[in-house]
Amino acid sequence: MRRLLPDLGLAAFLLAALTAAEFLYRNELLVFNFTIFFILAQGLNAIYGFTGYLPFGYVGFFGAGAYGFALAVMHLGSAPLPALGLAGAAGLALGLLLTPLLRLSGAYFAIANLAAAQAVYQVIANPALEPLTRGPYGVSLASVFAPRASFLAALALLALLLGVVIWLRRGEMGLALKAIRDDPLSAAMAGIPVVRLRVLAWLVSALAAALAGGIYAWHISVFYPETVFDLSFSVFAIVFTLFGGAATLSGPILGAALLYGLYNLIGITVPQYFQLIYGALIVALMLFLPRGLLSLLTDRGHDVP
Amino acid sequence: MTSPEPPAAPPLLEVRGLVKRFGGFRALDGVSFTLRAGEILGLVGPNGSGKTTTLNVISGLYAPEAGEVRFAGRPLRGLSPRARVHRGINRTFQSPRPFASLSVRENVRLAARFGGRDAAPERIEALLERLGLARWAARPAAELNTGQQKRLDLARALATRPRLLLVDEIAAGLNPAELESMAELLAALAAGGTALLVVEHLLGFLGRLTERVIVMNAGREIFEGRLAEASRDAEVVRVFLGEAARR
Amino acid sequence: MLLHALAGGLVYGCYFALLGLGLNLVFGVMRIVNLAHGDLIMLGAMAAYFLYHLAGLSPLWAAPLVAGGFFLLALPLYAALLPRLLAAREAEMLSFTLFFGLQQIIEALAAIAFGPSERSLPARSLAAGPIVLLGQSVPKSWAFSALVAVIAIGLFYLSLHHTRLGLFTRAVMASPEEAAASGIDLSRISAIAFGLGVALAGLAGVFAPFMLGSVTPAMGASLNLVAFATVVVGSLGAPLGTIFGGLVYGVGLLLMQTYFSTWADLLPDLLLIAILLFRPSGLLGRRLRVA
Repeated sequence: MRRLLPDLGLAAFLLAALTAAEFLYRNELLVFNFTIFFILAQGLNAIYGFTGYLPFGYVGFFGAGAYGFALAVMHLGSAPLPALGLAGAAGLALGLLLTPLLRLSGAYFAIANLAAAQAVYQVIANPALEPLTRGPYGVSLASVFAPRASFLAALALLALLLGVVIWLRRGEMGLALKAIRDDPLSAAMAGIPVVRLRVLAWLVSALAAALAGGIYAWHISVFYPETVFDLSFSVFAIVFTLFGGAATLSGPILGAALLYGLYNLIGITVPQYFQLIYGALIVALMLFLPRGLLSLLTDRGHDVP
Repeated sequence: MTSPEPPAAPPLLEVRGLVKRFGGFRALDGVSFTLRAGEILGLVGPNGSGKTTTLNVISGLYAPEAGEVRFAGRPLRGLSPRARVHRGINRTFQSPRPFASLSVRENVRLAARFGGRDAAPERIEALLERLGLARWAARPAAELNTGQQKRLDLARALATRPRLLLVDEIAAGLNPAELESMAELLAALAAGGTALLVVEHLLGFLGRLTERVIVMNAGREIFEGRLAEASRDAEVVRVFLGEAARR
Repeated sequence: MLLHALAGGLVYGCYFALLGLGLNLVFGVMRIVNLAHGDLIMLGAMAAYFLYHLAGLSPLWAAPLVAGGFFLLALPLYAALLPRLLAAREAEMLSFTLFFGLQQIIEALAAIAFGPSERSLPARSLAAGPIVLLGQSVPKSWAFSALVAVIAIGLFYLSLHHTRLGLFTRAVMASPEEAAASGIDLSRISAIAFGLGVALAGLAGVFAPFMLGSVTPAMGASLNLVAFATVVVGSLGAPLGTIFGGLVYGVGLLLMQTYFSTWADLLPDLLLIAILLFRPSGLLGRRLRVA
């Protein structure tokens, strides 16, 4: 239990800071967006940090969740919470559909996953599906608009996800996943159920992004397909996680806090300059610190949350 | 400690007529042998003669095109490597394959938990002690040298409580002191009732473990019997001299 | 309709093969997916645009200039990035991510330098008017682009199979370890292959304004998917399979555009996924790439 204290402390601090900011700070959308990126970075961490699969098309789950939520509200007249259930179901269904991709290794998985996200986007945005999805013309969910409630939902999801990542990090399950990442054959010879655990991590990750997408749709309430399938969601989640350090709890938090903060300082007015900075950051990281900022500490034997 | 079974009991491992092709190349061309609990069988032969392929078929990495492997009286066909681990078959690898980012202790603990379904700390510490790894237990496995990684491979295999252990060239790269303790360890395992199938190039090392060997060449057995007699067998001599000449 | 789609598809196929060739060469030699490939194509297109509008240079003259210039620029880039990466433990994934970073840098710099406006070259800068192919009339500028692609691929084939350098390159593609053991200078071959891969991207870029429409700094990312689709349909790591991949993709795309135009954009994505899952070694290939 004592080993868990730093992790739990960090999680509690993050949640408290976000809550305080939400109630004290005027730019409530900014706080909400931070929360969403904390979720996406940790969700990506669950699959990349613990299995080594880098899902370039992570945004596919986010968009699927957003549209799952929107369809439930538009066509079924759902209340927000059941609609979030459908958002999660959409993400899980897509995740299950894509489990065969886990047979691919490294770059092949990343690219196939990117193509899959593009394909989902092109189906949803297709004018031929206008009666169902409103196609490229976007959806409006003004009837359920509730910024405070949706923020609290995001906060609850973040809390849940932080719990899952702590469990993965400190429990036998995360250890088994890392073993699979290091050497799948050895893992099988150690009796570890390789396929089952990989699929589990994949679905956890997909569900997190889909629920985040649903909550995002709820919060902004008017959006277009390209809003919620914007590749930047994948890219940001990847960069934040890599920057801080995957397979830790604090790495993705650190990455999202610093880089999304930077983005809001300079990125919104001149996005190209921000893109240039994070492009250069990635190159520098891969050359000099491939396991992220925190590896400076962990390599010296410090135990960081 | 279980005493070796009486000769009347069925063999633990029965291998019959294994054939394995890779493209047009016949890696195994009708391999058959049996192994009893507590027995050590050596598998020798030149590179590419099918020794490691035999281990890979028994441990379930490849399915054979023909032939059968029976373990404890039951066929293994269609079982995944992991299912075979749970039946009591495990192995080491020619070049060791540790979980590099995990600590030595975590390597063994995972195998004990998932493969042996008993991760009692005393058992893990005893295994680490027995394999001479206790000093490095908290270090990442990536930092071990080759000899230590080979012992870790073996510790992980033993953590799953195998009744049959497949050992692939464990002696290569060990220093004389390590060879000594490895031979003692393997002999003790066999004395405890574990069956061992040992692929080995170092015949001196093998000779300290067992008298019984199979010599393979081009996917076939060309000799089965006592190690000492193998060196007097004309075909064995031809195969080994041929290999020496090619080098 | 069908013949028209086929004729257009063949012409496009040759061009798509050129789009993927450099990507595949770099992968074949170094086992590295150059995610910046699409952005290098975009830079080639920008170069052609400015050479035409500022210097009055026809794309046919710009082509060798851009290819040569890109080759020379690629060498220092190789020296700065790759030796360090190739030595790392997880070289494949590291380099994939690194090239993703490079892609972002190129895209950002291009956006800063060129702005978001769409740029195009008039067809007459290459060749005006139609040409008859399979009894169908096809724009001459398409046919010229395809012809350049065929010539470039032909030259590539000849040098791969009939020169010493080509022989060494094939040896490295078959097995880097054995090639190195027999005295081949791996880093020299890799550097040249990388340079050629970048040069081929630049060359493909010069003709992009005619084949792909207007040029913007953001076009690189989607070009990557197209190039990757052509490459995996052929066979990843076997550059000549790319020709086959390009033709399949080109004909497939034009057929889709003719008969299911609303869904045509799905083609590269679905093709990519299907091939990776069901024929991971490509329709022609032999090399399996699964976890």
